[in-house]
Amino acid sequence: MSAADSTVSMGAIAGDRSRTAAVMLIVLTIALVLTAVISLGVGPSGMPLGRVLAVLLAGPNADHLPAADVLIVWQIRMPRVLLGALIGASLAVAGAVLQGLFRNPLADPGLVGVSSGAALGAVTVIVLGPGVLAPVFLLVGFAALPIAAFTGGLIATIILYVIATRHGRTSVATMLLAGIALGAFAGAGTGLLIYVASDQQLREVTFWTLGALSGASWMKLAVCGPVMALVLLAAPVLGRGLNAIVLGEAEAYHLGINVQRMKKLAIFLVAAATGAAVAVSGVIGFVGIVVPHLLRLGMGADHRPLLPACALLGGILLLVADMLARTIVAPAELPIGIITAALGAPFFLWLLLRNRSFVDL
Amino acid sequence: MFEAENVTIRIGSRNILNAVSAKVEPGKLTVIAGPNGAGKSTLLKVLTGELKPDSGSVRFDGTPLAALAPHRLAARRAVLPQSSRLAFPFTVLEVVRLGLECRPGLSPALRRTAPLAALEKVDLGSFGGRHYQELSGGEQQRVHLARILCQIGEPVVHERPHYIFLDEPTASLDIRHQIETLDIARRFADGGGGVLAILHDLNLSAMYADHLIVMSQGEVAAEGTPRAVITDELMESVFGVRLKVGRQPAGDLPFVLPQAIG
Repeated sequence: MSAADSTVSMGAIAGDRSRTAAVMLIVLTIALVLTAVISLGVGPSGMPLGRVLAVLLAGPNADHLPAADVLIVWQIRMPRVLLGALIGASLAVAGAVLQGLFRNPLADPGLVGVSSGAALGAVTVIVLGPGVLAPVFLLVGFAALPIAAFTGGLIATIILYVIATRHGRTSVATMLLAGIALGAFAGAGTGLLIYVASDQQLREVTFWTLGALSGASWMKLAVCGPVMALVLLAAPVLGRGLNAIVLGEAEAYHLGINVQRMKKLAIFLVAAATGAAVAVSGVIGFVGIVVPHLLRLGMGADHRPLLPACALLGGILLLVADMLARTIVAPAELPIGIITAALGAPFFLWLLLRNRSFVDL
Repeated sequence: MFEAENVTIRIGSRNILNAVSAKVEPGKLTVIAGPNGAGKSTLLKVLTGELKPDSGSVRFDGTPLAALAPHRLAARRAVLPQSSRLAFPFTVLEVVRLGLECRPGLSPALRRTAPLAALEKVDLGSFGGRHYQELSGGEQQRVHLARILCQIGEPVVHERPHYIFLDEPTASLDIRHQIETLDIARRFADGGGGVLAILHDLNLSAMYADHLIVMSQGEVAAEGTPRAVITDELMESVFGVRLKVGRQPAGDLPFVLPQAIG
């Protein structure tokens, strides 16, 4: 490759990609809104775009439009679309933060066991909730499941970080292998719980392990939505620190970053985002690895525009995957986790091949 | 002024640093030299706050380093690491700009021009748009030099001196860029700032150092002006080579030639 080929000069100053990033943020915002409106019309009873817009503009209590349309758009599809966008955004941002923290592009909450930890937490509540954990359930009610998922994710993230990072340097091999071990261990726990579960619980548990949006409701949105929204709003605060930590933890400290505090906040946000997402949808893999990587190709690795862009593209990607899930085998639907894994796994392999020399496995 | 007093660093039962005291003073270029494993980098890490000593104290203008918030310290001193590998595709300009992260008060105009000026200074003026990962080791090192120059700005701001710490800044550079890099350090010290550099090359140390600290086995073996420190006895006792130290007729500066081994 010649020098001229590898030169990035899209902005006024050579190497400055902030203008490209700003344009991409605008384009992604428009695309997300469009995707959301379109997915409101997609489903077993399809609806033309014009009618979707009319129902949207009339509000949830409109009585001059067919009651069925209002019900479908406002009560069934709207919470699902909002949840889908929030989940996609949370997973993508969690992936980007985790990758920044570990200083390598292969970290993903699904791959390194964070989601498995969150799922174990959730399954524990489902299976033991009515019995052993009944008092806890009474105490925190609806929040028990998200709290358990968050706790599981947090524990997994902390264990992973402690194992994979020595003296501020993270070994990619150790991280991926530790992730496999964590995933397997959490899987064993989940398996044990499944073994003792009743038939009804078993059906619920299957839903977690595959990942699905079909259980979306305003209620779930009300419980988990605010957590995800808060994480998405807080994440950009990490941008500066994540940029500095790209150079190494010591270098970030020399640049004036309070590294320990930043790491704690990052781990907490990853666990909160993943926990909230897993609590409503189960384990949806690969969003966290595909989205940040695609965006870095286009706009560079500056985390300040990257994190919001991840949120937008993550939302878009999950909404598209959900539309596929709803239409491929209509009138039935596929769990969305199957679709993201089917698309994401080959992408991950391609990424591994491209980076083979770099990741040094 | 950065001041380490009786600093000891232990790893296992071994003392990497053994009751070492050292100063980095404004207006001076201080060089640490010594054989491999003498504790040079460890001393630098202690002085920058990266490593906390097991015993002894490190102070900056009288305040214990541990009591200073990272961003306050970063406003007054910058550190050039030995090598740094980036996991993500940053351009050279973006890496240099990282140096501005700890300078929130900077005007937008300076924010735009400072990275370009810094790249110009390290002879990489046309490299802004290149991807960092595609550069050679020496070029990457100069990118980081530009980054810390961006971070630290002028040698003295509001009558308060700034400091730069350089861990083997010339390690992978060709001779021209070795000299240019040390000229930058020299000018920074002449401008009133403080510089601490680890150098392996005794001749460059002799040329540039105001104060030379020679370390050996975790202790300061000798310190003072290069001409007082670099002697035949030191070459034998510290470096274990019988080398006759030459003297430049003009400035009486010592020089060492491997050919002179006896």
